[in-house]
Amino acid sequence: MSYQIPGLPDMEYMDRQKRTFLTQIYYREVARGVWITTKHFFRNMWKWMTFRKGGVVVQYPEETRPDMSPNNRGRHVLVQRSNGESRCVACQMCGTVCPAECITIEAEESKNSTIQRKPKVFDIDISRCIFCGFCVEACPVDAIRMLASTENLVGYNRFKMIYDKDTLLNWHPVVNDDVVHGYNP
Amino acid sequence: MKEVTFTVDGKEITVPEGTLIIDACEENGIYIPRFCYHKHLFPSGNCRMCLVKIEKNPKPQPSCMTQVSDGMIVYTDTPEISEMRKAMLEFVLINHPLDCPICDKAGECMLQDQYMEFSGDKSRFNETKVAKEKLYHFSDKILYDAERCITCSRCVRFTEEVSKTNKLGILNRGDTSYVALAHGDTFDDPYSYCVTDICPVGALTSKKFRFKERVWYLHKTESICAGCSRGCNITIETKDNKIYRVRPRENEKVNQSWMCDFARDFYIDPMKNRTSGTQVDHKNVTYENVVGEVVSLLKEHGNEMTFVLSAYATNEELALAKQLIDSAEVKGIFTKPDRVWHEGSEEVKSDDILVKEDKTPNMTGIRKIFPAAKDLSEMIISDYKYAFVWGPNAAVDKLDGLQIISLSAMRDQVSDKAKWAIAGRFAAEKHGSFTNCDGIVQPFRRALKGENNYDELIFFVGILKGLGVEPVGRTVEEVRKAAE
Amino acid sequence: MESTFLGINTVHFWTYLFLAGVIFLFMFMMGAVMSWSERKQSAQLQDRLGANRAAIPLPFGKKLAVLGFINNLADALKCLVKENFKPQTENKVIYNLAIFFAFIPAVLSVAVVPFAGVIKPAELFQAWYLKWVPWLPEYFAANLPDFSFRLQVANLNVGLLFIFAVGGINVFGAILAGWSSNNKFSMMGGMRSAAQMISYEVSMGLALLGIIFIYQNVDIWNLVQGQSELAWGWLPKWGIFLQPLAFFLFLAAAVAENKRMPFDLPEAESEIIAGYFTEYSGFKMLLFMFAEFIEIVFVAIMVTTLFFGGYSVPWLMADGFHFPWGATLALSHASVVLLQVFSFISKVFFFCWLLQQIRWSLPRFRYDQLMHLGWKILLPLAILNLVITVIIVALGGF
Ligand code: SF4
Ligand code: SF4
Ligand code: SF4
Ligand code: SF4
Ligand code: FES
Repeated sequence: MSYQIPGLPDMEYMDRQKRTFLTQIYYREVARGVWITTKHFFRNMWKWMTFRKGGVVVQYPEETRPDMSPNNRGRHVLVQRSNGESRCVACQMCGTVCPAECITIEAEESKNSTIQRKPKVFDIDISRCIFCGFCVEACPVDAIRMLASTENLVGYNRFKMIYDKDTLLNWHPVVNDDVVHGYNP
Repeated sequence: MKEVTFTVDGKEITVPEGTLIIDACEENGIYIPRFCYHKHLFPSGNCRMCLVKIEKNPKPQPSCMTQVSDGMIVYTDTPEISEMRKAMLEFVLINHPLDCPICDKAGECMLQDQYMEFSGDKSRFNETKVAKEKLYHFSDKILYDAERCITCSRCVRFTEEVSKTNKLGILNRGDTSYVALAHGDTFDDPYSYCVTDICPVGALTSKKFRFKERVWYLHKTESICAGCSRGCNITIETKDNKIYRVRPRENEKVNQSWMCDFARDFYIDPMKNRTSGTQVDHKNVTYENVVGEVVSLLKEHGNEMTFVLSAYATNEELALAKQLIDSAEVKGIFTKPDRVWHEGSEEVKSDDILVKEDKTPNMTGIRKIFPAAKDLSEMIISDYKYAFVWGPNAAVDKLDGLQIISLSAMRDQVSDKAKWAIAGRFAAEKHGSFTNCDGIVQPFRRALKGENNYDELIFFVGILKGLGVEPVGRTVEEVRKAAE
Repeated sequence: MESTFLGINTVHFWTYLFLAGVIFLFMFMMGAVMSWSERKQSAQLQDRLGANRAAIPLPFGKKLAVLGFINNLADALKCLVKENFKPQTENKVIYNLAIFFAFIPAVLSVAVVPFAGVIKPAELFQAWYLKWVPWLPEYFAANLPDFSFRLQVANLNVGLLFIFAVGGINVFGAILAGWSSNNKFSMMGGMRSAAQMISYEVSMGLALLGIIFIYQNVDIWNLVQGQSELAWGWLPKWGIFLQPLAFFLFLAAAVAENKRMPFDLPEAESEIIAGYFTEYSGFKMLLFMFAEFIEIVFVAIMVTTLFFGGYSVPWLMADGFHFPWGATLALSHASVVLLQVFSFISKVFFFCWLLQQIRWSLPRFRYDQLMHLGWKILLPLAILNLVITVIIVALGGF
């Protein structure tokens, strides 16, 4: 089946295989498919048998990709004022724009009457976050940013993945020290 | 009344004579931006946001001050007018602090809305904004931020025209003007929260609601105030089954746009002394058990029982109660005021604005459905052995020596004494309708989830079924339909 | 000194009981291995590492993960402590029984499969590497010098028919599970699998008829014996050489019977929920999955036995190798038996691997493609194969 794009010659836009008896009885196609996976299987097995890492996937909490962009959206941090308080005014813009609805903020009155409003609770549920960065863009006071690093965003317990205000204000936290160190293949 | 016909943007509109252009347009779907005009306040025409072009008039006219006349031709969306609106907004925003992130009004702010709709221009103001008082405590309820104020004078006119306390006034001129109280005075007005509603910006905010929740998260339920028999139309705003604030809803016949302060706090403060569950002899039993016992009581001792109605009951519940009383042949029907005015409380006993002396929402409904119901104080105890007491605040000495069945949302002496106690719900937790002091029937919807999995209506349906009577309806809608 | 128990020779009784136990255990071990290799093999062929996180903590910060095997234990543990969800069904008995219908056939059918040839215990223990065994060699040499048995639990002369009969029960497992779950999705899943299994059983049976015609037997023992012979003096008479088409037909039909990937429409968990075992949770679900793994092993065993000569090793006779070029290599009886068992098990492993490989390489068929393949391709080809075989056999071939 082909469809016409106005102004272009009528042509197939998909590399569609012709249906023949051989493809219809599937055996040859199955054999071809299994051949490809078998090649992968033995390549990886050989690597494993010679004490190298087989799969190409990154074993996340222990390994991170070396080729990560410096613009990567990783862990959230809250920007501090000079006195160490959060710059956030608990306006809820980030919580409102967040598509994963993972930001919980409760506001309270600040002692500083020019600031007036500050967060009492500021939680990001990192297990629900989709790292879209909308919160960073929504913030009117540049109080929330995202680091490029995605180190250690893991936890054996989903409550450990809810980062509270203190964690977010700390730019180099030890978040989870209970990850498995080293992996077995 | 004489009707006049005029033309707005090429559309013929017929309205009664004396209507303002701004109202006539709004009724016909053309929204003219405004700050100072409020439907229930006398127009003052100081903000100039509502300018429209009227043919044969050399200058644009404020539509909030101009009455419609026959054959008038009005334009609301010429390039000239939209330029003028942009200019007005820019002018208003010159000294406006743009506190939106920390402003409680954000999300329902007329300045935000109208700027987004009618302007969207970038600011050209490079100079320093005028700094003013940001935390001016008008009272322990109201906070004033002079920087955000656009001196529309709505609040001033409210205290002049509606609450008649004349507490507020505008001081100074130009960019230094602000709203102020007389020196040393506080803004103790029983309707003071209304100014936070009518303030088009976040200059006047409620301390109770301050920083509690962003307004766009609140779920709004249309309801009727149960604070007194006026039955003000209100919107209950909730989130996660918690009431954050209560605001008046416009109803020309009942409360216009106002409600009293007492009722707002009355809803927000979580009710103390709530009853819960079902008890027989102060022991928790299942709901089904209690229904069964009450049914057998009604069957055997119906004619030795007195039924004390609650003036908090909805009309639908009363209709079912009537069916129950008729079928069980209950002898005496009495009513009681469920809530009375307490001297020394903040509450106003009554005034000629809204607050009525009868502090229950549905006494008129009882009078309509049970014309024969007498006041509880007229009851002769020796006639009865059992009393079905519905709602709180029954005079406990009038029930001495009676076996009490209590159906009430609030704990009091009677429900503590009751042999059979069934927890009820209060108005925000159920659907229904109240008949207010003027006989206007006003339906309302449930704003909160109640704790028990039954409410009074379901309870009566259960009892009627136990008595072998087909209830006129099992839901509020069915009862309402049956009553028609 | 023939003692009997319930009319059965005591030694026979204990021998076969022991054998049955061993083979039963073998099937369960294989099921466990399959559930492990399902993860690890799929990971390897998809360039992943597979399960490796679940581990038993050891001192000094070490973890014992045993190549991801602990994950399986963790799964079993999880399923054990999960909520035992019970649907509101009319028939609790059938609901619970259906699980066993699903996996008893596979375990039961292995009973007729020979794992090695005839064993003579008296001779067996004379091999130098079995000298260490205490007591048994002397016992057999002294009391039962002539005793011999086949490494096959049940010596049925209708073996293949038995397998078909027992295998047919499988359908009941699916359909009863679907029906007794009181859930329309389960019901539809049950019907889907019933339709599929019955369709493919036809082709499977027809494909095997060729084998039966060639070896003129339905006794599995004799089928394997027949395959151990040589054609033209050098080619083992394995089913794959005599019936290549039947092999491919049987393989496809068996995978479909097994409800594995290209044919796993009965389950199709991602699109039409989990088919007939939607309403089974926790350990009951695990049993269904386990039954599936045991069935893979069983399919591999069937393919090995019917098309790859079962335990037979090419040119290996009872006394050692007789190569077609005339050379011989004498082997002790024990070595022969061990070679046979090893040959059988390694063939089974190979086919388990192949089946897993197919399962993880292919996407799922559409239901119409499934039926098309079953009725319009496999069935005619099976009949064609049968006709050709019958003609060749009638002409006195092989
Ligand atoms: S990155 Fe996206 S999903 Fe994550 S917290 Fe911010 S807005 Fe929410
Ligand atoms: S948008 Fe910025 S200032 Fe507002 S709540 Fe989020 S982090 Fe705080
Ligand atoms: S009054 Fe309106 S525009 Fe001004 S700060 Fe508040 S929300 Fe923003
Ligand atoms: S406080 Fe609000 S209502 Fe009062 S004058 Fe200022 S802007 Fe208008
Ligand atoms: S609304 Fe008309 S002048 Fe303000």
